[in-house]
Amino acid sequence: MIIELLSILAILSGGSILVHTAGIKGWVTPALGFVVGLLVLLTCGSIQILTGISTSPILTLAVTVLGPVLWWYYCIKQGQSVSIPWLRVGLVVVIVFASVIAFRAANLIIVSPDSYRYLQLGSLLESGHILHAEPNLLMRRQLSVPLMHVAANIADEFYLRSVTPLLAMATVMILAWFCQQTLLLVHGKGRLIHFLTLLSALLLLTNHRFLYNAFYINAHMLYAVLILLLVGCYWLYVNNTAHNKSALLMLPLFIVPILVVSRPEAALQLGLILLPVFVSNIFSPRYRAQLLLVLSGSTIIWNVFLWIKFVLAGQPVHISVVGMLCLGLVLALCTPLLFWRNLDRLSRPLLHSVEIGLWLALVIATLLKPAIFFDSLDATIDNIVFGWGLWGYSLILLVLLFICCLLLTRVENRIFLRYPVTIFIPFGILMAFMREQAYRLGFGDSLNRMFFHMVPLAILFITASALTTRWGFRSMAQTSTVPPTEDIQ
Amino acid sequence: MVADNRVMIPDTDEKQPQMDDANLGKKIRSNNVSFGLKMYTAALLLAVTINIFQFKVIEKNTIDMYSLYYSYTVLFRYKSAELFDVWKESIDSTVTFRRGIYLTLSRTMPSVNIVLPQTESLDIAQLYGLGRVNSVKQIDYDPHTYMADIELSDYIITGDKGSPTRGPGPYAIVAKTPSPTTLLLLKRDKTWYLVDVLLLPSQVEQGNY
Repeated sequence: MIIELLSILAILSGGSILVHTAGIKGWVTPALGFVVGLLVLLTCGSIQILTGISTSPILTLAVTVLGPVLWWYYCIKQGQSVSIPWLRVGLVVVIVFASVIAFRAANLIIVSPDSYRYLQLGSLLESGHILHAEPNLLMRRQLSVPLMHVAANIADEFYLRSVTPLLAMATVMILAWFCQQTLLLVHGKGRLIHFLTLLSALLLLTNHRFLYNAFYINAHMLYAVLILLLVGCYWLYVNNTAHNKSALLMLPLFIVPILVVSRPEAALQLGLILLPVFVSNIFSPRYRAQLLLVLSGSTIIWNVFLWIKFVLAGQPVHISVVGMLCLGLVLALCTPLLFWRNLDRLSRPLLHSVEIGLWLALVIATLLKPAIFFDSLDATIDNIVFGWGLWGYSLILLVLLFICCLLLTRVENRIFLRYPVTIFIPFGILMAFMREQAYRLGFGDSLNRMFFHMVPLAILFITASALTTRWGFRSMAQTSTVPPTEDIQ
Repeated sequence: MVADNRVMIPDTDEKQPQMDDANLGKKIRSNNVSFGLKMYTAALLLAVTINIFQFKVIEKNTIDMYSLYYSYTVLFRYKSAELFDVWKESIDSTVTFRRGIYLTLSRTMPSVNIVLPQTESLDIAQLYGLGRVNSVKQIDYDPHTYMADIELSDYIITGDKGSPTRGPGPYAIVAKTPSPTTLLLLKRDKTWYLVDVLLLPSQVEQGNY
């Protein structure tokens, strides 16, 4: 109990200090702080593993707290006003303490065979035996989930019972905050905003798979919230909200590496999700280059690490490690293209052609291996429509709402929210061809679980549709003709 | 430096319509937005309501599926220390994996020293994982020897029951005391056992492990 309380408090306090000093204040601070704290924890832990420094969770937790505290001290020294609202802090600490105690007492958990492998890696980390980890195990399970739960091993436990439920709570709050900030763009302050924000939060909260993932020892909740945060930051930025723009641009630079070490397909998926950012002149070429270098750099470093692991274990290097390493190198080589002046003119055709290209790739893959496609399609329809995936009607309703909003509304810059969701469909099915195995029937199927990654973002898209100036099939949006932006440093 | 001027990326090729009568257009737009928002809010409300009312259906499906597919359901109630039981449960049902042994080591014999035969290809690294053993060594010995005189029924035996296609699993464990110091991997009747060295003949017991 003590270790769990201290771990959660370390994550929350470290992250909240960073969020507070970044100027993002209000009721979202603890939720955003918790996720940012996790980002700090996972970044420190990953550096410890990759550099061969001790993988002790005590060191990771210490850096998670002390790093932000030092940053806070530095901000004060620089004359920045970062006074702490002690009353609110006390209230949040009491609520979090109560939540940790309640989640431990409720003791709810969902485990699958994958969960044990994550926890096995966590145990290896704590005991300082990570060098003995199977390369295949590391490649498939990655670092995020083991690092999230590693502190539990100090108390002779395998996982922190409250960390995923608290992350789920933070996800709802962050989604609600993004929805509120989005609605504020047009509707001003009023009851409508509160009501629509509440409905959006409830749409996520009542989604069956949300409840499932809130207690599931796996990376799905973390991955979903990080994608929401990544895209949400850019969404708020392009809509010129009143938040600290540097913070909105900095946060994605920390999210990207953690996503890369969260799921095996992350680097490829991120390349697609971030494509609207890479080709948009709303962001300076310098910033876009930094983002691309962070993505490619983290992909290269992680896969070189895996490559070394395979070689040391005397095993042939897995094809996906080679593929991801090539992807990282190609992305790095693409960096100079972001400085090309004509790139913004080609942004829309480029985005559309990539999307069409993915569907074409799917058609070609199907022609080559039709069984994988048709078996996957069959299983996916059974999972989603006929209840085998245990979504109930949640996903069908969400898809219907998404399609209706897509067809009946037009909102400026919505492509930043729409693109990651719509591109996920061909990408998800293409993944079956990459792993050379069709998706399965049942709620344990990979694609069935991966759909959750897009759920919070899809809800934000649906909420953003309320900004439309006209409803109907011929609804239109004004297209700004404002000249290109200045460089964003 | 952050610039305020933005170029919007349109999500459509359509152009803004021309309104002949600005006021009429404004009024129509206002009515349209108001009606659209009402329908939109109603749709969100309906979706949330359906989500709430379907939970029992999902639970029922889960119970039905429990016997058909995996040994995990919507929510479990287990303590961390009881993960072994969850795992044992999964071994005893349709899902079979070979890691029960590591959890057994974790629960009953933390910090134990494991000695494995060099001749066998075994996943040593995994013994460090949930097993939390103190050390794993490989030495040259014949794993088929020394098992004849041991009465297995006196000890804890667990491991992988295997599957109909794969046959019996390769691992089981014999523990003399809750905390043996050194376990040697041995084999009898095609099944592997980790045996407390104190149970073994003296020449083995005195071995340099």
